[in-house]
Amino acid sequence: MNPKRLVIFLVAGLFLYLSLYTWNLRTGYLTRLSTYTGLDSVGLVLRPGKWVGNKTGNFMERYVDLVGLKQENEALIEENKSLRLENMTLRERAEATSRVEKLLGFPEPPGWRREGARVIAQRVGPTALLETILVDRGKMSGAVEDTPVLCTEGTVGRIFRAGMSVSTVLLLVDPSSRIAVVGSTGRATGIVYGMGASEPLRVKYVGMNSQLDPGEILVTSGMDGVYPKGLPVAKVISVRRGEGTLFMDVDAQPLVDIPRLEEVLLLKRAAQPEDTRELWE
Amino acid sequence: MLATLWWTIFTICGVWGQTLVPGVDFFAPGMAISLRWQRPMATIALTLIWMAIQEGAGGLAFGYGILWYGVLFALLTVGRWLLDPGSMQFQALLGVGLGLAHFFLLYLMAVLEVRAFPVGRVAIECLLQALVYPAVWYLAANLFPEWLKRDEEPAS
Repeated sequence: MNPKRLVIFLVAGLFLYLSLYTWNLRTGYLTRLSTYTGLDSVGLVLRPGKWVGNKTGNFMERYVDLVGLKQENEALIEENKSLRLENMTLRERAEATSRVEKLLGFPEPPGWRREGARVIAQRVGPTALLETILVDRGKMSGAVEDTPVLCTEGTVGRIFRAGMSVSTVLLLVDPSSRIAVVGSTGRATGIVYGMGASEPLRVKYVGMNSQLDPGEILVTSGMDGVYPKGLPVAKVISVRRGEGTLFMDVDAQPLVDIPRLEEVLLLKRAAQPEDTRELWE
Repeated sequence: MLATLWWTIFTICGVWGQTLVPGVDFFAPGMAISLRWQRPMATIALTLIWMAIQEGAGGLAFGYGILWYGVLFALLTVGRWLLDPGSMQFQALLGVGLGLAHFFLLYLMAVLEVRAFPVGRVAIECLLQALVYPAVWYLAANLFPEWLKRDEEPAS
C-alpha cells in the first residue's frame, strides 16, 4: 500500500474512532447495545453450566458425604443465613428506633423489596478492568442500575450495568465505588472508597472531632441516594489523626468475603427515585 | 451450518475460558483461524459477535473492542507478509504483541474514562494473554475441521 494512502487511512480511522467513542460516551447507545446483547449472551452461556456444575457438585458431595447429615446441615446453614439477615436488620432497626422516635414528624423512608440472585461469574473478558461480579438478575426481574446489592454479612456493592437477564455488580472494593456511611455507635459520618481487590477500604471525610474507633461497624447513612440507611458496610481497622488536616485517616475492612460470594440479595425500591423525592417533601 | 455449529462451540468455550481466566481474550485465536480459512464476511460477523460479548461483559464504555480486534487484524495482516501464519513461532510472537497491546489499550481506556488502573493485575493478565493466545490457537487450529477450510489466498 502507498505510504501516503496508509497515513490518510490511519488518520481517518482514528478520527472516526474518536468520533464514535465520544458520541457513545455522551449517548451510551453502543454500551447499552453491547450490554443487552453481549452481557445477556454471556449469562445464557454461563447459567446452564453453573446449574449443571452445581447439580453435579451437589450430587457428588452428597454421594461421598453422609446424605442425611449433609442435607440437615444445608438446611441449618440456610436457616442461619436467614436468621443472621433478620438479626442484622432488627439490630440496626432497634438502634435506629430510639433516635427516630425523637424526631417527630419524621417521614417513613421509602420501602425496599429483597430479591435473591445467584453469582454466575466474577470478572469476564479483557475489558473487565473494574472489580465486578455478574448476577443472574436483570431488567426483566426489575433490577436496574444503582440497585444496592448485599449478602447476609453486609453490603456487596451496586448494579453497574443491567442487561435483560444478567447484571454487572460494581463491588465496594472497586476504586470507583463510593458509599456514604456512618459509624454504628459514634455516628461519625464519612465516605467509603474502594481501593482495589484485597486492599482495605479508605474512609474519607471523617471529621477530626468525630467519635470513631477501631472495631466499629460502618453502616450506610443513606445520604448517597443509592443505599438505604443502616446496611453494614465495613469494620474499622485503623484510625489515624494526622496533623494539618481537617479529617482523620481511616481504614476499614469489608464485611463481605467477596471471592466466596455465591448468592446475593438485590434491594429494589418499591418507588422510583422521583417518587421518593416527593415522599420526602 | 457446520461452520456455525463449530464457531458456536468455540464461542461457548471462549466465554467459559474468559470466566475462568479473567482479563484474557479467548476469542482472539478464533479471529486468526477465521481470517485464514474463512470468507471475510464470516470473520467480520464473528468479530462483531465477540466484540459485543467483550464490551457487554466488561466494565468499560464501548470502544476497547474496536481497537483490540483492529490491532489483532493489523498484526495478522502485517505478520502474514513476513511469516507463515500457520507456524507456532508466528502465533507465539503474536501472543507477545497482544499481551503488550492489551496493556497499552487498557491503560488508554482507563485514562479516557478516568478509571483507576491496577498495574500489577493488568501486567499479570497481559502475561496470561501472551501465554494463552498461542495455546488456544494451537488447540483450535488442530480441531478446526478440514472441510471448513477454503483455499488460502496467497500473501501479496
